Amino acid sequence: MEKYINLAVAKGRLADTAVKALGGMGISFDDYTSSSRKLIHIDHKSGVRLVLVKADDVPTYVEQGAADVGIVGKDTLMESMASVYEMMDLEFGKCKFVVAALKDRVENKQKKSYVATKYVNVAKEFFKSKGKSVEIIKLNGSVELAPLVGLADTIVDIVETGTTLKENGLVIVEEICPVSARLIVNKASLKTKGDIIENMIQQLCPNQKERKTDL
Amino acid sequence: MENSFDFIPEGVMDIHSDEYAAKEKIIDRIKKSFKGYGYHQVSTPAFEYYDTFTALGGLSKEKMFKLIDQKGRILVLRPDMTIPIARMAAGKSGYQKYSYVSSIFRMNDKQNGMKREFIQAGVEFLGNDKEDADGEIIAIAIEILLKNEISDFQIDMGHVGFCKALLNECEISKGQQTQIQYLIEQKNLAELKDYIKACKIKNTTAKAILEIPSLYGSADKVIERASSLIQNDEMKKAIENLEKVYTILKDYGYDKYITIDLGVINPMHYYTGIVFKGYIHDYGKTILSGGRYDQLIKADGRGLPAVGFGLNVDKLMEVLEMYNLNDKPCYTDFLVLYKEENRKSAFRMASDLRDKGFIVETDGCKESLKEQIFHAAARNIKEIIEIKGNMLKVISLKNNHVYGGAIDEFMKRIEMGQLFGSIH
Repeated sequence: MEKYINLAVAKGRLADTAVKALGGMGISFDDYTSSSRKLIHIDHKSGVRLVLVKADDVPTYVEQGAADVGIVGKDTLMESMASVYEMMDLEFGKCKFVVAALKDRVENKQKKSYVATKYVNVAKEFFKSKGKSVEIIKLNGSVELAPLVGLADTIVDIVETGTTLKENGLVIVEEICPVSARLIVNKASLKTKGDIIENMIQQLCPNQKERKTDL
Repeated sequence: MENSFDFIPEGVMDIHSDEYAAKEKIIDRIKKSFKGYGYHQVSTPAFEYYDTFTALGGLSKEKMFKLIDQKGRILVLRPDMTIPIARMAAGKSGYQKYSYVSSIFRMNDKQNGMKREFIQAGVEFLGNDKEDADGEIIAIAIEILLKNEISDFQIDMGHVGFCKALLNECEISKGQQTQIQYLIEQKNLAELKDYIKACKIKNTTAKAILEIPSLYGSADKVIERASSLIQNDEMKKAIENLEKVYTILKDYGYDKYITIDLGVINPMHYYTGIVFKGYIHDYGKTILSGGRYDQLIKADGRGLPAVGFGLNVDKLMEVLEMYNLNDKPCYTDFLVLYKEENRKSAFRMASDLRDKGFIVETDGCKESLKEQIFHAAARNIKEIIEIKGNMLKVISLKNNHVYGGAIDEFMKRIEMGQLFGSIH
């Protein structure tokens, strides 16, 4: 049986970057353009099949084995809580998870606070680790709005430059963790198609020498 | 709620007859292997006390289906077979070899298509602490996959002692240890590196820890690399143990199916020695898993050595469907049709045919023959026999041949192995 590698990548900027990086290692998808609506692109020479999915779905595809390898932001990965190998920090798409609030907010420690976020699991885990009970309000976008209109006391979101926060009068209260694009691998695939995947990782690695262990 | 009669909950499924027949065939094959190695089948209750499953650790509480009985006690639907067998076997000494094929129930609240009820088939070998037992268990797992005509698979073996012993070298808190294990398990080298730096672990140990996520692949290579990282007796013992099991599997002729991954952390918490998982090519899920658990069962106040594995039969079915290895659908050899005056002889004939091993249905003949043929074809009936007194008419639905003759004559020819139309 011929061994194909299915690579799941989020449509859009991440896919453009990934296709470029893959091009550097001789894997090219001739019919790929940023505006193309085709969802599957194949490079027969290397046996790599590029599957374009929604960012939030990349971990699901990889966890369930519909894709062997995926490229996804750490934010999406953390939120999905998928059981996959997180084999490489691709070091692009860098930003960070933060807790933010209105600049002049005074915290009332006797009251449970309301947290608005797109990332319910991340927020829950973070406040749990802090030993704090909070109420989470799930929003699907423009989370910065929530404290302004009194929907929530704080927000949990990813921040790249902080401009959006600033323009809305919010400040970072706490940093949760850094975020960047990750290469994730299905647990079974690493064992059954190890050599191909391993090869791909070696080539994709931004600082290849660093991958072997030195502190 | 809308009328729920037409719906079934997520994660459970009906199995129709053709699929069921295929499933049963697989289970039969599995049982045969179990029996061939001297494992005897047991069954345990479908629900037990919640405490039975939580006292020993292992399963996460959220994954169990809970019920409350009239006294307010919490019961759970069987979420695992190893623990009930451990409970059954406690207090007995000597070798005990058990097998099981049971439904397992696990909660899954994520909408990702995972089953909440599935059949697990497995064996547990209790009382034997030798590597031979570990080897036998893995050999049975391999044999079952081979017997199901799967050849492109990998058994990935690890040892929970290796990493644990290495982490014991570090002066770190329990929480830090858990985090390190978690990162190793995810093979998240990038974050592991940062985290270890922050933990201030001494250099040689830190270096060894950072090697662990990449300690996987072909057995010889991994064992060699791991040997160079040994820092204490426990680690040495773990590697020796792993190597012995691997050598035993070589003598079974199964070493080509074995890979090693030392970055596996205790998946069920109760494992104490080797652990393993089975993966099939192009199937992204674990098909089987198992390992050694020497402290789960207590006998005379001490841990009773034990090793076992469980295979997910539903997943195996999916694989066989993927590879188109599933069996032919259900069928019936003969449908015997009678009018009231011939009923007695029809029943006798059907009974005689069943004694010879044929699958025979009977029915009174009120509808037109054409209608009967129509139904019979849809249900994969091979031949229709119409009884008229001492005579019969055989209609083969395969090639539309029609044969007429005496019943005695027909039975005699069947006896001699001569059939008209189709021979099955």
